[in-house]
Amino acid sequence: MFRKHISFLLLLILYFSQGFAQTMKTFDLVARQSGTAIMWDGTSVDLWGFKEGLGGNVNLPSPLLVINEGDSVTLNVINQSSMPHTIHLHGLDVSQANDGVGATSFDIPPVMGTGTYKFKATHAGTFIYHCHVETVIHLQLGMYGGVVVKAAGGANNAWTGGPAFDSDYTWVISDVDTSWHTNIPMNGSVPGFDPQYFLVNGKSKQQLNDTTVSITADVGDKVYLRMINIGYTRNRVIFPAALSAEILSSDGRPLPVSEVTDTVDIYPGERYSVMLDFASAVTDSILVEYYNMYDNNVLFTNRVPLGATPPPPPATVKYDQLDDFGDFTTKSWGSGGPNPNPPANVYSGGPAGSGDAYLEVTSNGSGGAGAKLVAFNTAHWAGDYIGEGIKTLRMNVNNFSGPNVNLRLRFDGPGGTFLSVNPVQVTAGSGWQSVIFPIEAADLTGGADYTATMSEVSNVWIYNSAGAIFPGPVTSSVMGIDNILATGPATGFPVEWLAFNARPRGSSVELTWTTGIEQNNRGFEVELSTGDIFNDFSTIGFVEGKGNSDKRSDYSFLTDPLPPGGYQFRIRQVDFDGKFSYSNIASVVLNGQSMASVYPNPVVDNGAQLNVNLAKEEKVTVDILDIYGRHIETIVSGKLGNNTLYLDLEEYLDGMYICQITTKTGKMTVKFMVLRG
Amino acid sequence: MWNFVLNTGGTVNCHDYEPDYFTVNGKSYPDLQADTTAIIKANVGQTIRLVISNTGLHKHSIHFHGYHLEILYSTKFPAHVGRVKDSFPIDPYESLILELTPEKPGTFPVHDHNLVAVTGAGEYPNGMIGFITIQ
Repeated sequence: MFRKHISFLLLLILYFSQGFAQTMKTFDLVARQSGTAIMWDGTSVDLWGFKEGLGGNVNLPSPLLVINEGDSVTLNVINQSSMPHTIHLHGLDVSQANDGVGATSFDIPPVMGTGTYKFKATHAGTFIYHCHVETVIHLQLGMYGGVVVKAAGGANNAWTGGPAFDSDYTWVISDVDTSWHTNIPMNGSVPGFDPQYFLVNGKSKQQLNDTTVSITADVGDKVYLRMINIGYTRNRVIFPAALSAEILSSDGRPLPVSEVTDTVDIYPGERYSVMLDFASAVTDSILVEYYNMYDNNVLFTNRVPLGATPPPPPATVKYDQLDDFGDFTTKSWGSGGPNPNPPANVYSGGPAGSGDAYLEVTSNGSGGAGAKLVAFNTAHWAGDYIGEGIKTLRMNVNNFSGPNVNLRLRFDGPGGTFLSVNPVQVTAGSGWQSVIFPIEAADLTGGADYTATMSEVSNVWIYNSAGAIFPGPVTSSVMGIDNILATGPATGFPVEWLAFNARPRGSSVELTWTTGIEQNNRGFEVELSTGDIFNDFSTIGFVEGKGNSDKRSDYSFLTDPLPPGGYQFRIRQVDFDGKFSYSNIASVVLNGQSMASVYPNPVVDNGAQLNVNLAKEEKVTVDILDIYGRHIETIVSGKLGNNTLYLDLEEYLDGMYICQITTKTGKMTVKFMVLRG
Repeated sequence: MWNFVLNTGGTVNCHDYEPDYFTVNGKSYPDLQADTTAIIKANVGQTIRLVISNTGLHKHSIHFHGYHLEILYSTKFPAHVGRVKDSFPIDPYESLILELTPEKPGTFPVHDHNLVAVTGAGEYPNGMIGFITIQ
């Protein structure tokens, strides 16, 4: 027998990190004989118990102590009462000196006596602490609480490496005979026990809606329920069959074989932990029954409510959704979300002029919230972009004032945060212009799972950053945004073709082309065909693109000298992400050779281009023949030079055809195929 | 109480049975402490087997301080064999065989956590309180 007297100096909660699973954890508990618990019918019951920190009253049960497997734990106890107390660490298998039994170790003396218990949490599980002085009496008076040892590192597993859960609950189940609390039994004289109140975490009946007791989950969640019987009655807990309750652990040890059951009997001092599977939406209750230890009569039944609701439905982004701010509201852009949180207002004077409302996002450039150019929306722009088939967001933007900006999109969702790979540069004083943000997998970067995020986007951002990082620099900017549209892929290609021409330059050919808007454009491959069937183009050169541009861009390319003959050219525009698009075909004839071509070839639609390049303008007849040379129709009978004609092939069945161009001096033929599949 | 009623010619109703004395091997605390058939003494590393039979009409929950024990045999719940626990429910007419190989020394209480059974005629401590001493 020995006592520990430790000077009471400090009440500090100390954490010394010694690496994973080697944390020291300290609790400072005060034993008090002053507290009240309010029963379900309003009856106030006097309590003894433990609490953290000096002053104030104790609650029922005493605070739940949560530690991790591997922790070295210190419980400093101050006895702020008139009787000796101890803390027995029920089930934690601590050493005799720390077992909290006065006869084999020490009592904590009354009137500010102190004691310290030390132990190492060797097993994840659910345990109890309670006073072991005149246990029958002190326990009934309220001196008990739960101890949860989580898996190493605090992981949400039943034990280290054990089954995972989404959330856990701890139920301390007990009972109260008010007569013991009113006329406290003294000197070991114990009256008959005849409880009136039957509790889970100190609650009963309608009080069970308490968030520590009633279980709420999302559909699909696994909930780990830790149950402690520290009362004087036998408990039987009955689960709805839909939860597929499975006992995984008892008394702080995994069961060798788990037990699937809807009924768990818990005797005083025992603990059982069950995994509850909220596989589908459910609203029900768990029955907690209280029995005498000497018969099978139910003294009381608590019904603990539980519910699992489906996760909130994803918000409502729709294909073709448009924010034109016509109602002169911000449409939830730029407000109600995380910082930075710049001002966003709606003004008149959008792309369509006075009366056309637009969103104006400003950044103050001076630090703090609102320093950076960011707009965001967690409302109707959240949702399932993949399910809706949304491939681009398009909008009109106007860089009213401030530096050139590089607009990007950001998408938040379960698969992580994704940012635009490439920005859309909007130069200062740009005026209103149309911009397209592609949002397919190759267009976004950052998160772990594109599909997970884009099928459940929680927040959409438009922001300024030169690099694919968030957020960007502090700027003082005024940015107009209007007509935000969710729609399909960029029309074929992210480059707007304005013109493409080919003309002879000696024995070479000069190609010139012009683009309007460019998005993410790596450049142009120049392709050449000698005009045979199937347009067997080959690449003869490459011209770098502007990348992103909202202005007209002119390009040119001069071929190497070519032998006399007829040639076709086209430009294959290539994105940085590998997507590509083609220009029209331009034809040219070198050194007096005439030629003709059909494009595309094979013809997959109801029409095609016929490019005719004659050495000189002359009278011709253009006929279509079938593959056996039988005449089908005459397209042209008249003068041609360099012309592009339209072939209406709607009536043509799939097959090979011959286009025959007859001049005074001879015939020229082009085979083409109709292949609609 | 039943004994008194029966000895004085009265009748008893099993449904009203509320015992007031609780014994292990016929003894209650503190006499139980001197009973070498009930008090466990062993050395670290020795394997201890403990047979518990509930020959009374009360349900009990035997709690071990300091150690977890493995259930080797249960007459009522064969499926519980192999479970390692610190508190062992035992119903009337049920028997358990428990095994322990202690890894640390110490003297620890072994008692009923059905706390009525650690009293005797309304006095605490009494009834089913024993000890395990490992050297």
